[in-house]
Amino acid sequence: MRLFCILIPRTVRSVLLILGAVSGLPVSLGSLLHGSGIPLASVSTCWAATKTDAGFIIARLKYKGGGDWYGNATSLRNLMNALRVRGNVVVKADKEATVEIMDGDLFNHPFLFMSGHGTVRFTQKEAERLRSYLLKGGFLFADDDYGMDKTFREEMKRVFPEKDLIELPFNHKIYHSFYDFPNGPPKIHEHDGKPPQGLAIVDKGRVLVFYTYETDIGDGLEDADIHNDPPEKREAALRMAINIVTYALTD
Amino acid sequence: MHSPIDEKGSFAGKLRETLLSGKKHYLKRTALRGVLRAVSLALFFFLAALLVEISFPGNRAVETLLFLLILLSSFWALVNLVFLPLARMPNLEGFAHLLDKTLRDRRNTFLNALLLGNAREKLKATASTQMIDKVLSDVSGLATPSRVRAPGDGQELRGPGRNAILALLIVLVLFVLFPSRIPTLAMRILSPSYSPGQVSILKVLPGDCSVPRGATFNVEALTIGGTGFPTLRFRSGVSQFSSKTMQELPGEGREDVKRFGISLGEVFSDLEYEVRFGGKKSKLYNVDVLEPIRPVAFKMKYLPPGYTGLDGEEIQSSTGDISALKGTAVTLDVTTNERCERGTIQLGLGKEVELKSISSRVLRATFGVVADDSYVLRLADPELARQKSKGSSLSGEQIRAGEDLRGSSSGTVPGAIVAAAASFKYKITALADNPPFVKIVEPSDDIELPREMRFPVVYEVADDFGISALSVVWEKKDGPGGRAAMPPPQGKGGNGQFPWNLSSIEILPGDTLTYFLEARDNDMISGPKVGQSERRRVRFPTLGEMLEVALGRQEESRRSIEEIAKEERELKKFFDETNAGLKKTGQLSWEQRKGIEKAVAREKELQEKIRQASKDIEEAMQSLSSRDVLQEQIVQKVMEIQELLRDIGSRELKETLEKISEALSRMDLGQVRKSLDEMRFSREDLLKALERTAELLRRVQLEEKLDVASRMAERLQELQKAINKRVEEISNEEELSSLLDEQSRVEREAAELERLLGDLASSLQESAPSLAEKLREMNESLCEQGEIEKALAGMKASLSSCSGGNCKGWGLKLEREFARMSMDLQSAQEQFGQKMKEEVVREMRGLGHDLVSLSKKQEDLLSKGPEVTTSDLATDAQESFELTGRAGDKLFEISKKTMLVTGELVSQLGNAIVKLDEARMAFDSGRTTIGRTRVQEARTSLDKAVVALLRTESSIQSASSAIGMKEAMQRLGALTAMQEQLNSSAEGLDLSELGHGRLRESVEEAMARLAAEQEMIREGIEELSEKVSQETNLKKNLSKISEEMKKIVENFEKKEFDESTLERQKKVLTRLLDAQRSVRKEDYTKQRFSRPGQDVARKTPPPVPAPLLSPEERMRVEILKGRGERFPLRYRALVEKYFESLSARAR
Repeated sequence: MRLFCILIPRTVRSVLLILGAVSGLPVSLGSLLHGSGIPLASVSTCWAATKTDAGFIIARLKYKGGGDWYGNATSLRNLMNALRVRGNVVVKADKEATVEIMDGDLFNHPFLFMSGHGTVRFTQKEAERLRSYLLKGGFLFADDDYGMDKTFREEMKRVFPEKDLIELPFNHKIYHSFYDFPNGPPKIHEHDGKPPQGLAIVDKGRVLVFYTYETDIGDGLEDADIHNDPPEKREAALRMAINIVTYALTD
Repeated sequence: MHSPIDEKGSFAGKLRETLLSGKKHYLKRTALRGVLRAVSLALFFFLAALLVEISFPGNRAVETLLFLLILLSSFWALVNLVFLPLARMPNLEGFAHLLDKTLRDRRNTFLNALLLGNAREKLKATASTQMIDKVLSDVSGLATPSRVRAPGDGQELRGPGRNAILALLIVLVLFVLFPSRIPTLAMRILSPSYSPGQVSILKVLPGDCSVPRGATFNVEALTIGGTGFPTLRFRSGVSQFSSKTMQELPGEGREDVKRFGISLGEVFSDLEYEVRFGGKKSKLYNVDVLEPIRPVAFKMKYLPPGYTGLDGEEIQSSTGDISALKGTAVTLDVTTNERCERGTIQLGLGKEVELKSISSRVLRATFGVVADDSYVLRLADPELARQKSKGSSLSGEQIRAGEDLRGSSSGTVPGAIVAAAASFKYKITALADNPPFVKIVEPSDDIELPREMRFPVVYEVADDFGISALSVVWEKKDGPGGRAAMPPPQGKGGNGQFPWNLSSIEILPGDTLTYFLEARDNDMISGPKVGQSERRRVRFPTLGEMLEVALGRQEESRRSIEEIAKEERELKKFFDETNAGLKKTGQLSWEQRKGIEKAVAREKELQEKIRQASKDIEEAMQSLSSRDVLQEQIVQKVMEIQELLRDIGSRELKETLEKISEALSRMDLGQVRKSLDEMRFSREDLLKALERTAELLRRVQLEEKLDVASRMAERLQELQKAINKRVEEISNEEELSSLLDEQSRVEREAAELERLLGDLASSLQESAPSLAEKLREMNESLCEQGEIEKALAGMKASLSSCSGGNCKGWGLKLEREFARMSMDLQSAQEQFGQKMKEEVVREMRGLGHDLVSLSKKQEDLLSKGPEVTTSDLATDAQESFELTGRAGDKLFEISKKTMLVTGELVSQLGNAIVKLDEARMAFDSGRTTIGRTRVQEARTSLDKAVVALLRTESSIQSASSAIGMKEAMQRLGALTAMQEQLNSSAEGLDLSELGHGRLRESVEEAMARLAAEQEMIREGIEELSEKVSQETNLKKNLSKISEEMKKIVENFEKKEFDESTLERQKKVLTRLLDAQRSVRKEDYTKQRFSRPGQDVARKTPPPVPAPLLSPEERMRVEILKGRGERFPLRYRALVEKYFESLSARAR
């Protein structure tokens, strides 16, 4: 589906879209986001052309370096459930997909999630492929689970040497795409007593990588008994995560 | 004239014309013949004259005669052979007659026809015109061109012509054969006035000319004729002419042409000159002396290499010598004395740089300074160049390009020496970037390391082009050195100060560190130069010395605390009395007010003293802990004491003091009294806390000393072991003496240990006499006549005498003794700890017994029936109150010996006292029910206090085996790393083989190994969990992790390895990583790690930078930016909304 967007020029896509609409092809976008309150017109047209691959799934990025890429095991499941229930998003499966950067189907996943406490390392080829993936429409949501910050920033610098992680202003769409976060990202867990930050790598107005630091949204998405977080904190984490997914799919 | 032929017919006219033409031809031929004959004659005469001249050389008469003969014969020939024949030319009729003579058979044909034609009209009457015309026609036909040219066209020209040619040929041959002689002879023949003694030609070179100033000026004269030597007359300006006789120069090849020359030497001003020879004089020539082109000023613009960071520098100079840093680009402006448009600079290795004209007299070139070199500046002189081009067209003039005008021209070169270009040589000095200069200003000499483990290094550093790095470098005698970067000064240097902290340097106490400063300059061309300062030494104190310092500070702090406590007691007394007085009088006198104010001020001072004491203890302990001098547990204890002390100056007390001050200023008696009441309790707490702190400090000091003594013994053993090893290694016994220094060091440190043990023995005499005795024994072994002392002396003597065998013996003995002492001290340390613990536990148990008795007493009191009077109940309550108070005192005494007395224990006991007091008052007032309730509450508090006491006792019992968090972190980190490796190995197992019957042997082996490794890690976690002293989240986490690991081990052992096992392993690793981080946050800072975050309202980060926005967004931002200033602020948000909606619609 994503390849469709990447490989086919915008004009051709538009023609196909019109043809699809005229010929009565089911526009899966409507079914994806029906009832979510998101205006259909605002959804990127490329997502409307899929028929066979209907349904959204978050892919967990399996990275190297020794860090626990598999951390926050229940988070994505909970997030996808919430997307299904609250956003009426058609979710393809109950469990997230796992993908490595060099996997052949990386480009079939528009939304990647990564988290952990430890070291993150990309090989040079991985860095180049991840860059290509992101520039061609992919989205990476990285959540520091406390301990990944240093190496994640280093690796992102290798992926985008010319770009910096910048902190997004609170009026950015990502904080208002579904729910309103007038004060930026919520603080879910205390780590080093620093304020929570939502940082991003931006290209031509589009956020390619969204990195939440000192928030621990991943922990907030986990089952209640894992971290014993108060309900309001878990709700905030869920809402922020929904915002991120919505932004990634619609902007 | 009217011609009858023309009128009558054409035949007569045609004939006449033909005849006229023939006549003209005849005239020419006659003239030519005459000339030829005359020339031939003249030439033959000339040849004859030559023969005569040759026969009679130098005979003037003959020559004159010959000349006359030639002259006459030439005249005669001209008249007779040319002019007379022409004068005798016939008219037309005569010519016709001549023609007729050529006709042998027709006599007078042409003459008659001519006459007939002339007479045709007259004959008309007598003769037929037709007949006449017929005759004329016939004759005209006869008058062909060849015929009418016949006269003179025969042999007349052949003879004279042949003669003339012959004579001419002879003359030419003679000239060719005798080129120098024949012309002279000819001259003599042809010129009657010619005389060999007279000058016929005088040519002077170079004539009018310009010469460079200082050039050697030569004059040359070419002469023909004349005898003797020409004279050169010359003058400069308007002075009198001077004369010089010219010298003859080698000839030109002609006998009569002579060359004379003379040099006037170097000319510096304009000249006039002429040459006189044989009565002939040349023209007066002018010599313009040209100023030679030369540089008169130089301007160098030096652009140093980029690394220096220096700006360019301009230098004006009268010389062209260049002196600059290697790598500098030099722009050289040369100003010349005269107009100059071209030039070059010749650098070493044949490199040439062209000078470009900046203005008429300034040339510029740019080149780099690479090495020591020289350059040749060549300036093209336009005037001289012009002279050169002009000179090329002058015969006989020589122009040579001067090689170096300063070297002058060669004097032997005839003619004017002129230079077309001037060259000048200058030096290029490539300055080396000198190494930086660096000096340690302070410390000015070797020092002992201050107790703070840091000291300021004041330095002075300078470099000619800038400092790039500055560092302090240290060296150890036997170990590796190191360096620490210092902030380099800006520019070329300066003075600075560097607070050098040596706490991170791993060096043994007692060692000496040699250090110096090293500065590197910024020379990127030939590499940075390094400058080093003089070397200084800093000696690290030994363990004993450090302890002495630290304990000295602690002791000072402890005494200070005791002093503060004493003063606080006095202040308490004052405040209590004052408060009582105020209550009694109800008035605040001026004296009382002043007294209170003074006491409050003093109280504040004491608070500051407490704070300072706390700080001193902290610093002293940091200096010890950073050097790892003490056990972590002891450090922790002291730090807790320090925290206790820091918290003594409570905020409540400070607030109360402020309230008192404020109330005094308002003379608010009520508030003063209230505040004094409030302060009473906090002051009692303060006093107790001070006493407790002082006592705790005293006790912990003993532990510190014991610990240090143990470490010193251990270190002595290590030092001795190292010496023994060296002794073994040294093959040449002569070298043994080199170990004397090391052995002396051991001796010094042993002496320190001796002092420390003596001190400890005295301190412990009362509290632990047996231990003191043991320490005294050790001390004696170190004293004179002691075993160790003897061995030390023996070792030194053996080293001095280079006796290898003895050295080995004494060395081993010493090593053994120190090892034994180390073990004994460790044992003593444990014994002391145990004793202290037992003492505290014993007292706590006693207290526990008391509290249980009290609780039982309350139970008994409550079980008493209504028959007991309230007075009895009040007495019982009073008794219980007093007993509980005494228990409180005991608890306070215990708290002086351990930090582990919890707040809960104190609180419950305090609560019981309060409740019993209230119960007593209730019984006194007859309120039995309330009294009983209070007793019940007091009993509950007492029970809780007993529980808290038991827990405290348990903590004390287990405290000895607990480890510090630092160590826990290290162990946890190592275990996490092992788990990571284990997970990787497990992932590498081939799962496809599992669940299909018997596994391959290798897989089985791998699983067994993984099970063993996992079990080993689990045991490590268990052990760590047991060692963690307190009930923390870490401990809980470790237990959970251990459980998970147990399941993994089971899986491995049962060969039930599958995806779930891998997941479990991952989970374990995550928990380990998480636990590791939670340790840092939770257990070090005593804060809960996994707590929910607190939302923080903060300012929004700045907008996304414009270059990162999409084109549409960028445009929107620009529009807003452009229009924003026009809108009032309140409309701006609306406008922004508007654009947002527009862009949303567009999407």
